[in-house]
Amino acid sequence: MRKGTALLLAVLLFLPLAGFAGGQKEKKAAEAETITALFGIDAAGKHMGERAAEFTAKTGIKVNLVEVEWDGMVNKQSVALTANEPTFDIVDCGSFMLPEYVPGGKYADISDMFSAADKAKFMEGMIDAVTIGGKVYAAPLMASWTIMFYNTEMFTKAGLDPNKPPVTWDELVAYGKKLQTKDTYAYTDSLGPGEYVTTAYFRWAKSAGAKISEWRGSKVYWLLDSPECAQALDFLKKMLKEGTMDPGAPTYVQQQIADLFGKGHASMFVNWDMMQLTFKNPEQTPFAGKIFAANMPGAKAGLTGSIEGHEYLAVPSPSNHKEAAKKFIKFLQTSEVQKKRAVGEGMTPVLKDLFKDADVKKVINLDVVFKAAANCYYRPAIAEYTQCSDIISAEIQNALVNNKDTKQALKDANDKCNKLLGW
Amino acid sequence: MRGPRMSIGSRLEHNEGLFAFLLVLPALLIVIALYAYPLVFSLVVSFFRSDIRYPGVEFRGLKNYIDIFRDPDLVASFGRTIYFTVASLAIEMVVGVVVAVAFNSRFIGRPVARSIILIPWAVPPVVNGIIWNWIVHPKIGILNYLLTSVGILSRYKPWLADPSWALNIIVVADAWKWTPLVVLLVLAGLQAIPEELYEAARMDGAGATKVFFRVTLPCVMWPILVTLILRTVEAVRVFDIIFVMTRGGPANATKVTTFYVWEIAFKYHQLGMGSALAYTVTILIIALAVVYYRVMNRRVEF
Repeated sequence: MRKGTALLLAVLLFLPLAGFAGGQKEKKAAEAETITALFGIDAAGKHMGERAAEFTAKTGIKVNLVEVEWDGMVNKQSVALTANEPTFDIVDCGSFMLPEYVPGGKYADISDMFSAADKAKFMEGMIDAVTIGGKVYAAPLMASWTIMFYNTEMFTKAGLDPNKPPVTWDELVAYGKKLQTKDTYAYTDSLGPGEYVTTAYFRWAKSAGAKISEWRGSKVYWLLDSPECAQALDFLKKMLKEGTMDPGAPTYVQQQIADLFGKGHASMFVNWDMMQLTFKNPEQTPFAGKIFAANMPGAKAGLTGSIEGHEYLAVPSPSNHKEAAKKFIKFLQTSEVQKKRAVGEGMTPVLKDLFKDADVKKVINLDVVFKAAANCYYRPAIAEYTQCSDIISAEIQNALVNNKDTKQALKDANDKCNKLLGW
Repeated sequence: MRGPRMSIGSRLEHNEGLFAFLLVLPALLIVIALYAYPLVFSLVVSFFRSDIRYPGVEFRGLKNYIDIFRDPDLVASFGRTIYFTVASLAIEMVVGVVVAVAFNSRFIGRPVARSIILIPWAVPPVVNGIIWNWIVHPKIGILNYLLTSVGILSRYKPWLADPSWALNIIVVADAWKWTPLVVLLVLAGLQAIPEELYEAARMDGAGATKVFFRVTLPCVMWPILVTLILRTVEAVRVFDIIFVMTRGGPANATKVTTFYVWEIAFKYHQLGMGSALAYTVTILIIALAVVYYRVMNRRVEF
């Protein structure tokens, strides 16, 4: 009988678990609808929680926010989509990510969110960038380009005109000689492995006037071994060698350089345009109000470079709350919310009308932003982009740490990427 | 002719095996669901092209496994993995045994020292990576501060931007975290050695060195073997500290094989290839464990 009692106890121990599971289901059915939204921390901004609370107050739909740094966000999304699990109802993405998920049916078609009149409200090209086969798979949340920031206090101390940032590479080096001290570098950049160094390199190549890739039929062909691309890589190496650029740059990610620059460890750096407001905040930097935005210097006068990093929101196909998710996305796209994000967080809005708004213009230097937009590189929307990016990253770093010479590194990157794409 | 029917309770009373099985069954089901099923599933997937970028799956047989050895980057990653494993284990075992022997002798403050030495082991690997990132930081790291203060360096050095330093620094960071485990296990072995063995050795005229190599070391071979196997498994599948400290850079200098497993499976969505690589790592771990066992087992039989 003692054995029977022991077995009974074992069964009883499992019963509460079963009861708990069943109870959870009943509880969920009774609760208000809840959506889970996965954001990169940059796209979410500091006040997404407030926006979500406003949305809940309006609609009764609760929003469970998951905010992680970009790499972590991509990983979480990838795992959930691979497993076909309805973990997330909204996911943050870039237009270049769509070819990874759309052919396999992982992102839902959300074309019904955009009438022709709706589409016309958005910045040119933003909806086209997420339209595949006539269907829209993601909704614009935030426009973004990289721009240069410079510390005018350091410029003044070095005897430089604070209203004249360098416009050519030669000027950058010349300014650097005046700006750099034992503890301060003239320039720093995020040349850490992966997408960081790849995108940094793309904007430098663009500022040399390079054509980095082109569409040939339905396939992308990389042009990384062009003289302009080599010129850009040589210039990065030169800056590292001469001490114009912080030698720690090959380890830095974007947030790190923003922190270092904000603390005065470097006089100039390139980052996303949304940082404009951050550098006006005395809580973020002792140089608040003394940090100005400018366009990246070019290989020669008239050239500049940037990279596009618009943030979009997609609805994963396995989501069980697609309509609620779309409602939240629509809410985030309203003029009211877009303005709040622009004025309160420095995020460039996606609605054209807001570019005329005086409050928005006060926060965002639209002249600089639009010039960056006109000279930016769009990462190719191909399913193999991430692999290509990692190949390019490794080869650029090979050149930067002198494992390979510039031409060999770029040739290897070009050959490997084009081979991967079937050339 | 059927005999009298037995109740379930009576059957359990008479059948020890069935009773034991029923008690273990719930735990067994959990293990199968959470461990065995994914293991078998990933093994099956490793023979297919399974990629969420392209609908459908395709049977590839051993092609995923063959492709691993055709990719020079992956082959190089095995070299880095072995280097990392050997280097970190060498530091951990040597330092661990020396510290354990020191802690086995009596000195004032021994209990406190024994507690303090365990702190690094209690630190999660990600936190350990962050701590070491700060230590070697190119702008505000204490290592640079100390070296420039004593005049060894003239300017701060970006240690993790140098391919020849990056992996070695991760080795040191990893060894710092795991050496306490070696100390703990070896110390347990040392405390089990009968004092008579030492007395006999001394009566036979053995000096301190001889006592260490002829008495102490053979007696702690088992704890060392266990530690070696445990740490080899951990070191071969190292990922977190590398992700935190270098993300595989610079120029792939710290990309060990498990980093590629993550990249291929979760960044590039090639689950089949990623699973094949994960299984190759598993085979490597098993092979190393068998080699250790055979070599050490031969020596332990004294």
